[in-house]
Amino acid sequence: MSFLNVLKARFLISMKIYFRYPVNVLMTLFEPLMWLSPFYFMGKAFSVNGRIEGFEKYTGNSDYIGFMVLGFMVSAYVSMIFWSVGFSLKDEMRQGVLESNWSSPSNRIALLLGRTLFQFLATTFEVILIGIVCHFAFGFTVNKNILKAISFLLPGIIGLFGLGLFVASLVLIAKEAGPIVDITNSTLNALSGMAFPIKVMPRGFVFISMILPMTYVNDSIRALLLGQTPLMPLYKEFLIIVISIFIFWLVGSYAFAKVERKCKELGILGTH
Amino acid sequence: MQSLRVILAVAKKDLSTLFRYPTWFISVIIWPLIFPLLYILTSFAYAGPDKKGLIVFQKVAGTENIMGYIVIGTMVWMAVNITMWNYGGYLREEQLRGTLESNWLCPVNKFSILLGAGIISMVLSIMFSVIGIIEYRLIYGIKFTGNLIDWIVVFLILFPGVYGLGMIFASLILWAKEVNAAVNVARGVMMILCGITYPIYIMPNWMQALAKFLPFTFGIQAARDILIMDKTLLETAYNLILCSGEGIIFLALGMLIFKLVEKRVKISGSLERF
Amino acid sequence: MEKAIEVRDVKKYFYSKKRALFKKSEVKEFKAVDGVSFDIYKGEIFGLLGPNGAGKTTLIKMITGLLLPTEGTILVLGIDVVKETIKAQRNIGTVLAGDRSIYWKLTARENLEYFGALYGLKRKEAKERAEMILERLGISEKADQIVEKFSTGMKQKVALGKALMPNAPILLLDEPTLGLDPQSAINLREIILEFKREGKTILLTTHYMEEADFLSDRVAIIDSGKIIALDKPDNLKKSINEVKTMKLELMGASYEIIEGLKNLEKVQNVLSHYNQQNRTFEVTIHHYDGESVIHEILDYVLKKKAKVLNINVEEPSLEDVFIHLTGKSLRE
Repeated sequence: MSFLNVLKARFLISMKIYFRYPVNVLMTLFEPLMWLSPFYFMGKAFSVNGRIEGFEKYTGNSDYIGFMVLGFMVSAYVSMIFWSVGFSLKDEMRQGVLESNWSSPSNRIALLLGRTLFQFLATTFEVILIGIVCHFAFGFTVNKNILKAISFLLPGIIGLFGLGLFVASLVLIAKEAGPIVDITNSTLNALSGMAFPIKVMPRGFVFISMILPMTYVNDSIRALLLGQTPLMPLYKEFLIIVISIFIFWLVGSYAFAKVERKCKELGILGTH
Repeated sequence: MQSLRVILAVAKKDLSTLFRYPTWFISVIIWPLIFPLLYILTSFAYAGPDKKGLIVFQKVAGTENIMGYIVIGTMVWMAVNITMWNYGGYLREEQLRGTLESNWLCPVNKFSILLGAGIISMVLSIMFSVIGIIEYRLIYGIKFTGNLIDWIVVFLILFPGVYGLGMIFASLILWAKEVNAAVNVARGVMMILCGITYPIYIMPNWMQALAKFLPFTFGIQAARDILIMDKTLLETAYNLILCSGEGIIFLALGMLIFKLVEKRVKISGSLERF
Repeated sequence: MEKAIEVRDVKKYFYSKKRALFKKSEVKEFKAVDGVSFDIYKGEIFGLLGPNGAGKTTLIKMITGLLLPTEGTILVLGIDVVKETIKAQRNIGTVLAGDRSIYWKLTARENLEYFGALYGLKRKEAKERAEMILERLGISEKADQIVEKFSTGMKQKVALGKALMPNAPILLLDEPTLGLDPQSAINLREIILEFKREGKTILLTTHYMEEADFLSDRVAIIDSGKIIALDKPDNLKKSINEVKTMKLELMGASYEIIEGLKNLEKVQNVLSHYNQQNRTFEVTIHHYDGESVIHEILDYVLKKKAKVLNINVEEPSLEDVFIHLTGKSLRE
């Protein structure tokens, strides 16, 4: 099979699996309500005439709804990458070992791309749904800087794929992968300011946040779409995000190659 | 008498398996610590660098101990959550394991097996709560009020509702198999309505009305009254009574649904593993 | 003779709805057990022989009260299983098919004591009885090890031990030797015979005809939810006495050639099985005439240029009874 055929086949299979469970789509509508309500109503408990003064001091305006919804959207991409790249690589590796003759290197990359490409589109579709649901439930709305915001988001996501490789290496060595992915995923989301401005954390944590590129993705998108005050000039944030792509891909593929070799030596791939 | 023997036997069997494979213990330590953190830090953001926002919050919530306010909400939510997954999934797990039929072959009232299964979930919820309270006291420095007896009373009144809901799910899963989505919705509804991070009268009226059908709404309120607002049992009696009263209705509903499902699977023969 | 189990006109139909979007849902009916009656007498071993999916397990599950019959009645020691399930269950120890009916994460002893409690034994009674059963089944050395690490045969013994805990007068064994190695299967059969000597009534399902033949006092042959024969194994075999069985092992044959065998006069049934390892066909032929037909068969096969590797003329077995009655093999 050619590279493109594999890519297409993989993509179609993922799509079929996704739409076989219409519950998935319904849950997409419900989940933002479930996760965001505690933040939304708590915000209400703090607001006087629609303003939260304390929050303004951190972010520049009182749009805590926009703040949390955008954070939630970005975290949807982060989770997607953690779960799908981490686990699809594991699956694929397993197949690669079982059917080593069949899977040429180009096919293996195609398999991975086909699956994640679909996941990316599905997540984008879900993010749009989240926006619509939150518009009606919480009055979420943004200004017209959407294209600019996407130009910050995309490189951020590409960088995350590199990080995904790193997670995949962890998944390969760990027997029970679920909890590891769950905890690293939530920690990364929290530290990069998904739900709150990073400055509310103790200093040590703020320092960690400042070296996570996702922090700048969250921050720049909020600055662009909500008019909130960014941590630093946006061009600097953009630069950091782009540089992080290279770092993540370098570290990620190095770790993955290393773990893959180790696993092949020890023969533990098939034992999961 | 025979039922008691069965309940204890089921509990003993589950507990010995639980302690033989103790990997779950890590999550008992970590989750109570992490889970409320997002809300706590967000509340800090809302309060502002000078914490002046807490005055606004105090006006609606009655306390400025916002950390205590949040951890109690999340603690109850976590207890319900564990019970729903563990207890709600109990019969299904026996079914997947293949041992459900062996139990059903025995000359006992099958409901006592389900009752026995509740004990392990109770042990887990107690552990979560106790470890949570210790962690909150030591690590977050939250000061709790009330005495041990008050706390036990609060735990006990939450009990029927939590287990009623667990029973409803345990039974429905046998019948419907794919109930993950339903569990997600149920815990989501609770997350939205029961006010785990805010007083419920912040919500629109129709949502408040819905919230009053859930015993946990009153349970959380009672727990806050006792544990952080230094009220006596008598002062929060209204919440205590409504929580346990609605809880008992949940429990009765759970029993009823179990009986119906028990009969149904005898006709459709869907007890076996597949 | 006193009856231990009475099964009267029992039917079990399953209905499955096929749901499709925008279409009316279709209800499919499946007759798992279709009008079955028989009695099992106290103290006998009653074998239920039939291929997979014939309705054996469904029948057993109805007798144990796990399933409600669609129609008909089942009495266990005179107790109606549907009306007084718990009371009836007290008199039955059951081993369901497969080794998954016990807890793998508990030890053998814990398993037995647990089920003892569910069968209403007091703590002390349960302990003593578990000890005795472990001893008797020869697994007392490993009694305190986790079942997960046991071999299939050992697990099957624990499952059997579980069924013995209530010391019930009736034992239901659903495919007790399934998946066991030959030696373990023989061991288990010995144990089953011992129970019979102690006066227990045993209902045994199996799709191994040798097992049914060896163990059972009477055998009921079940196919597609119906009992098609019921008698002592010897009588069943005698009933097809005029039929002779011949087994051939052929090399270089084809399905076509074997089909052709059916056209020979006096040949009643032809069944074949392709052995992939040896690349040979194993053919069973039922015929009426012992002498001349053998020549005809051999002539035919040789004319078709197939090689005869082996030829056997055999006494009829229960398998042959089944083939005679249904035209198909038990293993199909």
